[in-house]
Amino acid sequence: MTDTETRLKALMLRGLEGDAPAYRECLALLGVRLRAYFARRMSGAPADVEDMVQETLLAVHIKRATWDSAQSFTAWAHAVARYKLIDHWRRRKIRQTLPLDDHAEFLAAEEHDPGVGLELDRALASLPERQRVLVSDVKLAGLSLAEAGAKAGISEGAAKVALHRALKALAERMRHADR
Amino acid sequence: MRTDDLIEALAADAGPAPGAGPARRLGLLAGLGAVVALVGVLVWLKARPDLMDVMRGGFFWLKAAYTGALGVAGYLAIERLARPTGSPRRGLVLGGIVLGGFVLAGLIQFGMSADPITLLRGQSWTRCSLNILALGAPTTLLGLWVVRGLAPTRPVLAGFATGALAGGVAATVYGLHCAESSFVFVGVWYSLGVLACAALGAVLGRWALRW
Repeated sequence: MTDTETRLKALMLRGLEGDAPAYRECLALLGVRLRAYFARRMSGAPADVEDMVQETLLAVHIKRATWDSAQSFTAWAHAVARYKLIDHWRRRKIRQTLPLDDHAEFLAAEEHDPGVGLELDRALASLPERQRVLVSDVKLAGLSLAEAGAKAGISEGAAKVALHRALKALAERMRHADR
Repeated sequence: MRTDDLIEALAADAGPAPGAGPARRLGLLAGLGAVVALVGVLVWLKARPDLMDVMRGGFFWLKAAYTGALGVAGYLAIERLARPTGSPRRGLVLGGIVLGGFVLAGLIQFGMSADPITLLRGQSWTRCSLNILALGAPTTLLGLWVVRGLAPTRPVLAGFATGALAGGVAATVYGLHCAESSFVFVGVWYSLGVLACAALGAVLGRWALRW
């Protein structure tokens, strides 16, 4: 379990330095754990699990400045996931409690099949045209940020800023997507 | 959308989070809060005329240290509470000790005074707390917006700490206007002013600090 922490943390630190492949691997590993975490706790609404995984991955990305690299990365990511689940229940008026200290178990995840998230598509569809095209372009494997920017007629730097704004807007819209 | 596609988009945005880190943002907030309160004091309330003389005395600085420490306690708490795993303990401990110590000094002074009610009322007991609330409210609102951009998971407590930071800063600057100089007065009305800002933060934080 501590191996997982060591590995995730190392990948995350490299991601924060701009290493995209390491960051992708970090998020993919985290995604597997999030899926197991939510699946176990949302047995009443399995269709929502993938939406929660995606909303949490977005939050991890956007809120990454609040992770103190002197602290455990998994404990932080678990706290984000826990908050997202409580927020989800609150908005759906479901009364539940979650233990604070189950992040050890958070690491020991069995594999679940990834489903397809619907909320993200809905949120994506509500973005302004330019942001939507940019997100669609970079998510299609092969198109780098520079290429996607060139296609939109903007520099790589501007594409990076636009992508960041688009992801933030996505996270905001996902939360407010009717639940 | 498949999660792998989302991860692809997020990976394209790899790198450090843009903008300043939490500590820096909250430090800026405190500085901005001091400027806002200073403008309020100079333009609206006016500085006390004997400011140069009292700055040589001890109580002026003691009062500033008390309210300043409440602001620091708010900062220490919110700097942690703005993170998902954060505990407000160090801020609560400092705030509790400082508040408790000053109120205790006020109680002793109250008990020993021949005319404690006059001490309690001072010259401005009807306005003091409200003035501090007015000077600290803009910073409390701005602070909630700043903290919302971080990742608080305990919204009421995080709002309270944000308000305590803003109120502590505002009360310290308010000392440039207010001539009251007893433990009783400051222990009651200054404390209530800071707590009013904190309460404002807590009430608004309940719905504002969601992400």
